[in-house]
Amino acid sequence: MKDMRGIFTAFGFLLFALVYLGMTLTYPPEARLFPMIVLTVMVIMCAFQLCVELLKRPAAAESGEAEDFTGQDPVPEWRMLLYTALGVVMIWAFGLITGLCVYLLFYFSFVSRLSWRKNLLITGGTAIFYYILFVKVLKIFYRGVFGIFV
Amino acid sequence: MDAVLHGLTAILNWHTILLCFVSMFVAMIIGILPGLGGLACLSLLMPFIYTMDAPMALAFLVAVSGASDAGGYITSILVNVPGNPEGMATCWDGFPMTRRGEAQRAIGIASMSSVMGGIIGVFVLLALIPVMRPLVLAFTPSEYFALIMVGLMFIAGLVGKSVIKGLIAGAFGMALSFTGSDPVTGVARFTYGSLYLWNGIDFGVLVIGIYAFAEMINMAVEGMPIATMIDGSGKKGSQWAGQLRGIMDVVRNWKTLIQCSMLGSMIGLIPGLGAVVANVATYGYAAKMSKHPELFGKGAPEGIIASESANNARWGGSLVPTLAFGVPGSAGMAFLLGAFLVFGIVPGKDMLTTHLDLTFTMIWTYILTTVISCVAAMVFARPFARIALIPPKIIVPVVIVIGLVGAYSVGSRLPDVIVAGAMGIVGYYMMKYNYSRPVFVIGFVMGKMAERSFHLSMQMFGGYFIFRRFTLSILVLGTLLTLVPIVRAWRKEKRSAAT
Repeated sequence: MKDMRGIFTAFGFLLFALVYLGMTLTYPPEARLFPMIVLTVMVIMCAFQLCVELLKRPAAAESGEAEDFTGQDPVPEWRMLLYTALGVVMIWAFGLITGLCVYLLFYFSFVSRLSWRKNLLITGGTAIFYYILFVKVLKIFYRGVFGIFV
Repeated sequence: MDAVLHGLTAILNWHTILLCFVSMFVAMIIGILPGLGGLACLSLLMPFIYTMDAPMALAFLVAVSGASDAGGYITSILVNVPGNPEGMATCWDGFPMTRRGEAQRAIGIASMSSVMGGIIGVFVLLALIPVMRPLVLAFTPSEYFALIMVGLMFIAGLVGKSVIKGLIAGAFGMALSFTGSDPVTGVARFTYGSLYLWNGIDFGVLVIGIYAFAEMINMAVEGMPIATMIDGSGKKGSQWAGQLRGIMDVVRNWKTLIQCSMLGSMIGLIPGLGAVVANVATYGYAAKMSKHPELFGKGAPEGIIASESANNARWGGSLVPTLAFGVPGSAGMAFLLGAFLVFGIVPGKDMLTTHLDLTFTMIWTYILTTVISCVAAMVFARPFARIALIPPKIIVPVVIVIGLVGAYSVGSRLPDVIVAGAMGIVGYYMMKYNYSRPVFVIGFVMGKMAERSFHLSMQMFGGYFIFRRFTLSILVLGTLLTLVPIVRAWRKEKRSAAT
């Protein structure tokens, strides 16, 4: 079976190039000249790559071993992408340090399934380190939408 | 001479030295983590440069670069997992030495070779500076543009499995670099009406996403433990005797050291070849020139000497096109170039004239950090290697959090965090489907420079500037250098398919 995600990735790049190329038409000639050249080349290459992906032979039938070699506790891909996005949301909602703590506590509890002691130790240690480095030393802080702490 | 001394005094203050020590320590730890390496390390620590002045920031980045290499070879030797891609060839002889109880000897060889290779690479750089100056002054924007295009094509052809995918990645990077105000007309492009994007996408934020986050997502999805065991010499006191023996191995094989360092430096001069090629090519060369080639791959000291000396020597070589032409000699140099942009430093003749003291600041920092980090590697080899045993389920969320906070610290803007997260997802798919991320980063860094050179060339010479003798020669040569290996590989594939 063909790897559809490889095709979607190639298509994604092509779509990006086409959209950007369309956007350049709204800019003055001097502002759009070089981007148009680059994006036109990109469209051609992406179209070529998409054809290659579509014409690629499907992967050979599995012989009984898993095609992708995975280790212990792999996280499903869609979930990991969601967790990454969740990290962004946590920072937005709870602020820099609090968001960091909430995210780590969540991840260690529900994904890594660590004991509460290890969870608190690592989360606490990371939070203290970042509080000292960012809030106290670099004076960088963000309270988040809910502004719970810092 | 003034520049040499100014460059040295710029780092001889307690702020910079303390910063270098901290960055070295962090970089070594990150360098030890397989899958992260120098580029991820630079991307994670990049946001900190915004709070520094130019000499301190450049010293910081150079220290990180030098120290992460040292961390990388520890895991290559002790657990047969390269800490960074350029540590690959070190595994081939380092781990067999560990298996036969000579781990500390291997670490001694790698440390000494790294230090000497780095110093030789710097001497190559110093030797080339007087020669590069008149050459740089003879370059017009037209030639700069040609060099940038050729560099991008060349890099796309060498890094990654597919040239087309490499070029797509490079074009993608360039397209993203166009975000913000146009350098010629000042028109806002690709900003979607958002004020945030008026200054473009920040380089530091981009690389945190495309490297650090992408690697962590991949590590979590694969669920692969970094390493399941570490090995080392067991007897008390044998650590130092073993490492001393390793140092003497390097002294005995001084010819291999010098030849491989010079070769690594030369490879570093060519944009795009980078440390992986330096690593493997010099290993192959050393094996061919050795009196006992049959020992390579089974624990030959010369194998580690070749690999590690070339790794560090190519740094000096890759700095040459970066400083002289603004064409990054490697993906790591693209970060340095990004830092130049942050501080408004324009690479080119200025780096060899007005800012020569900055150039020497980087050189001195590199020498200093290479020496100190190699000594630290020798002292802390065993405890450092234990970090590689930390399972992904702990490492992944911690690094993600480091990245998110780092992305915010760039400009204290929440959209930076969103951009980093989004680029992480994009970077993961790029990694998974072999769209070269180093080429993407180089395309992003060079995009604005290429556009500026393009417009200047158009104004100075008109639309036919690419037909100028020197410009055309560079373009033709570069295209040939890119196409010839592709055609060869295609013919080879056809022949093997026929048989």
